[in-house]
Amino acid sequence: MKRFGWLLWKDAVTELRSFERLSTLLLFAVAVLVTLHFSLPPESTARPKVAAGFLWAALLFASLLELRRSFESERRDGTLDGLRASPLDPSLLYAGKVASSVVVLGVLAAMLVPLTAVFFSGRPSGIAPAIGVALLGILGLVAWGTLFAAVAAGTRGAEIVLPVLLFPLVVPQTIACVRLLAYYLAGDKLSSLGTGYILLGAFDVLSLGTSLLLFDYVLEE
Amino acid sequence: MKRSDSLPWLAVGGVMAATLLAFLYAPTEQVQGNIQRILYVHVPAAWLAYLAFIIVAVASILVLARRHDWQRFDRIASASAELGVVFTTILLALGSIWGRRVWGAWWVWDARLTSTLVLWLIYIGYLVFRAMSPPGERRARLSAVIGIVGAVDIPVIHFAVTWWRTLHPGAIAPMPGGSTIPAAMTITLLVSLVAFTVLFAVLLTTRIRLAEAADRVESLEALEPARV
Repeated sequence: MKRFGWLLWKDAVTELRSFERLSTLLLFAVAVLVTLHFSLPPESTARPKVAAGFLWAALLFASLLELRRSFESERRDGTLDGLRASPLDPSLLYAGKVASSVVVLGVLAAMLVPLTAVFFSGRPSGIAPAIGVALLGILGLVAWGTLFAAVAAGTRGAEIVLPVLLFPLVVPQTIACVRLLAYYLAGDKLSSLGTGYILLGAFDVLSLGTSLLLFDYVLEE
Repeated sequence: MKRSDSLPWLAVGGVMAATLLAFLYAPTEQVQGNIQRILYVHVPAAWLAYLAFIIVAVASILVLARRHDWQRFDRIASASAELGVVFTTILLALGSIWGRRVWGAWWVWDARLTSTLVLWLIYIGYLVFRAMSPPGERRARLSAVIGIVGAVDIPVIHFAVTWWRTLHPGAIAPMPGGSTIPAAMTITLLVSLVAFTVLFAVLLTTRIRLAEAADRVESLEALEPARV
């Protein structure tokens, strides 16, 4: 447990310490939101309706950058080999990376959700629950994403391979998260809020569990 | 004549028979008209796409579980994935043509079509990954991981998409059909299913043999590199 804490600390602090990195991610996400905003005609009444989708899209693209970095920096330092050689359980390594990416993207989401509400001027019924929902979605995204970032790491064109693999597989999280976000950001009717949360949670458990099982195989040799 | 030689002929004969039945024997459907005949290929394509991906899933598990024999199972998995993508493409294309005629739209986002599209993307991703990776044990192992994740996630995706559809009920693409289906149609469909399954078996075994031959050539070249 202490090792896990150390891993998390090492990754998350290295990341957060470089506010430069986090603020660049934020800038990137804002640029995405602004670009997507132009898909609508001015004064469009559709603006609140698309807020949730645009937000999730921005988070998806930002997560690609964050996931690539998650393995990139260690390969460069050679610490990946060092980590492999250590008696550290690959599952711990996986959990550490997931946790640190969730922290980084979570901080990003905490800033992005209110910003989206402002940009797309819906009648948000809850910024705080919306951030919570975004975090749940990010958890599933990072669960699959960490596994596939490791898979893609050795290939040429890895920056294409990761999204090509990841985006179709996170469709469940995409659907559940965006529907819940739309409820909070735009007042979309949702027949059962509880069902949405349960589904999102179940998707997350599935992706975390499966990735945890398979990560050993990816890290071999 | 070796037993394996007769299977391709059986496949060709079967598909020809199915085609003749589909155009000459099966009656014209009352509501849809002749476009309904497309289903005699569309339905087998769907069945074979799912069969192919089940094979990918099982072979992928075996790649990881039977390490000493990983090459054999890797060849099976990748050959089946290729065929799966081919048949899913056929499925989507024929379905689109049918839909344009019957629903008036080339594409609708109903649960079935959406799930199939995502399935297609996942397995194309599998092939893209393989194309971008140097061949060997690592590629086989990682492909197996992708294959297993795909198989696990597909029912989840289908469920999620179905739930998403239920949030706005009423927009379900109707499947036209009479209350009783004439026996001739059922017979034609069955013949077609069998014929295309035999064709699938031929294509799969041929593709696997091709991969084996390619691997043999590679190992020979490693022993004695070709002189320039």
